[in-house]
Amino acid sequence: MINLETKSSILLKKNLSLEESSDNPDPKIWVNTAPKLKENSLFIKYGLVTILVIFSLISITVTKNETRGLQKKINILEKSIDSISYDLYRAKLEHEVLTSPENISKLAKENLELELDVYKKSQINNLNANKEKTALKIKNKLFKEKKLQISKKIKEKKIELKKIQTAYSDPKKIPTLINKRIAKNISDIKNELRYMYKNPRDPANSKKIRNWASFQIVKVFLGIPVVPGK
Amino acid sequence: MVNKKKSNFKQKSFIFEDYSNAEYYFTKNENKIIKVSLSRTTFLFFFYLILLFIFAIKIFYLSLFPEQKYYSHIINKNFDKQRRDIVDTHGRIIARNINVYKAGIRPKFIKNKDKFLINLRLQFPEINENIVKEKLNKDKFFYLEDRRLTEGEKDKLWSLGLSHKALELKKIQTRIYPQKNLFSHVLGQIDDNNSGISGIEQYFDKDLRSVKINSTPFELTLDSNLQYLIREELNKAQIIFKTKGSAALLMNINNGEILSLISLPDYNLNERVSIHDKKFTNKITKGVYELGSVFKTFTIAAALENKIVTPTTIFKNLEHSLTCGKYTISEHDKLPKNLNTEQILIRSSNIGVVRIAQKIGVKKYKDFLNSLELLDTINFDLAEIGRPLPFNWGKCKLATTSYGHGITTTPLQLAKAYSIISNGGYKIRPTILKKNKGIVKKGKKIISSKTSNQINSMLRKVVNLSEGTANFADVEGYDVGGKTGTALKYNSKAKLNTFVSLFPSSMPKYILLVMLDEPKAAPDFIYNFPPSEKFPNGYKYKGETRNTSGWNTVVVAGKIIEKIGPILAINSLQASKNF
Repeated sequence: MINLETKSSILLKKNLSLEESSDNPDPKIWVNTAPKLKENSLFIKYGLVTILVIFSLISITVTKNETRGLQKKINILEKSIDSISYDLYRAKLEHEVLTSPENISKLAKENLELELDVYKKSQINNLNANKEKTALKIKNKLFKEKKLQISKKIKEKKIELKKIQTAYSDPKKIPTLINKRIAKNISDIKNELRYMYKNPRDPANSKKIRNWASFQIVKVFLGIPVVPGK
Repeated sequence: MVNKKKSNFKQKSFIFEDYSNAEYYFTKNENKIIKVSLSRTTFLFFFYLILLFIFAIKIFYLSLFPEQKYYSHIINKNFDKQRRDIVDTHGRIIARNINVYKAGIRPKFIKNKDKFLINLRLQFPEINENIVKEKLNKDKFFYLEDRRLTEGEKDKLWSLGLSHKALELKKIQTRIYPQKNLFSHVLGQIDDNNSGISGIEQYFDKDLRSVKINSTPFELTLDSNLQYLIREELNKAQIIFKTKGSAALLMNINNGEILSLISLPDYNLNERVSIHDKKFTNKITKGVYELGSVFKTFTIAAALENKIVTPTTIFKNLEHSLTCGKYTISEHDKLPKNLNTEQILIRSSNIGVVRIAQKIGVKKYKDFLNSLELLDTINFDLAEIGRPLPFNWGKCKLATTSYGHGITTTPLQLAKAYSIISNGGYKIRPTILKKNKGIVKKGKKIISSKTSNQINSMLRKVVNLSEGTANFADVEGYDVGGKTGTALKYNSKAKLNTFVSLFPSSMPKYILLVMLDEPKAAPDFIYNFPPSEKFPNGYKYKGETRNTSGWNTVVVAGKIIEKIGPILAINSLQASKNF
């Protein structure tokens, strides 16, 4: 439930205080509230702007004049570059005329007192060709030598064959021939043994013994057991 | 007082109250001077502000345009070429634009005419003084001869002391060709407006006039040195064999790049003479000829490709002559009755080739020639292109075309067809433009590698075997192979001798075509025979009265290969190093 009495009393009190305040206004409340009018503010403002304008105008003019001066210099330089590059352009063309094959051969005919000869491809590859030639020569030489040796052997064999043929053509002479050969072999071995007996150092120098010794040394190196005297 | 009033005013003022009273207050009282100053300052402020704005716009405007455009009137650029340079394969200039001047004289403004004439004679002794004197006396404006003055000559003319009114120098651009005649048939000419009217100058006119790529030169595959050496040999041949004209073509058979293209007689491009005489036709690209026995290679290649014959197939009892309709076909020399395919080409037997062609048949032979593009107009980089003459195929036509008679084509097409046969059978497009540097793109395969190798080996035998027709081209170390062709000109007894050579024939890289127009026998010329089994040191011979390709064109080709061979070998070495 709402207590009407208490509420009404509060409202009354509030109304009373409002009435009191409107009836008695404070006269000092608006004192010094209006904006102050400064005497020199306009001068300073416009003055500053004018100075800025003048300064910027001067700076623009100065910069422009400087730029003009620089541009003139650039133009002069560009012109000179242009003329130099054109001179170079023409000089290149003149160079082409002077160094044209026709002109060079004409000058060569006039000034060189020698007949120029044409290079052959074989001359260009001269070094290789020489190498090949020497290699071929060596090859041919070796081939010829071998050929000679073989032909010599063939001749010897042919002679032997002829001997055998002649021997077999007369069968009565065969045993005497064999006897002669065996006797010759025996006498050869005898002579060899005698020689060995007389010169005991010589067999050590003989080819067979030297080969045997070197073979044994190789065996030692390889770890194969050496069987002496075999 | 003021303070008092001010305080009153402050007290009176209220938040919704305007300042009209205050203004009134000011104007009515002591602040009158301030109001005047304010208006002036405002005026000045806006005036300077507008000025500043104008300058700002001007600066902005200047910054918008590129410097050169804005200052172009001041710079007055000396030279802006109207056509691109043309350079050879090594970057050597072969065409370039320069400024020249035409000197105009106003006699009215010359004070002392006699003095002027004396000075002119001293500085320009080549100018005809009498003509100038005559013109000076007429008192009318005239040009100082038709000649164009160079920069140096222009300065000389100024040094004569003429006023600006008396002397008028008209600046014009002209094209200079430092190699003079050397590239005349390839480059062509331009007119007075710097527009191409023939050759490359005409065909690539748009490219050459392009402003965007003005500074980059127009590169060709041609080599000045090779071009000169070949031209020299052709000139010598002209004296020895008393030719009416001659032509040569050197081409890379793998990519179709033309290293040299010569056609004689030629002309000096710098003289700017209008040429109408037919003898100045570009014989390589424009000339259409019956080329003779060089066609035998195609007949044999067609037979090998169609597996009709092998190199060892023997043709027995070959007649010395045969008749087909109104045509009588005979041999050029006494030849054995039995020849195999290889010997037919080596000894250049007409009857043997006719027999082979008969075996091939019209359709297959025609198809083969079409695949080599011998009968169509070639697609090339010049405006001057010849069109092979059309004809009807028949029995006799097959026989005559088999040895290169009754069929016409351009030497350029002939070289192209030989290249295809020798490069392993790949299609190529002859060109004089340097495009893909060093990159070789293989074209469509037309002929098998086997046929190509067989033909290459046969062509080598034509040159190195004593019974072959081209022994004089057997230059040591270059492994040259080739085929001769001797043809009679239509309705004339004059000859057109051709020799197509390929080297090195084991793996061909270059093709050299030499053609002599109406050569004569040279009995006074000493022929140097190359070393052979019979004559290991070779031998010299004089008094030859025959006028076949083997006795003139082959000799010239041999001399050319001897000279250009080392350059090509070195270039190949350089190329292989670069890869």
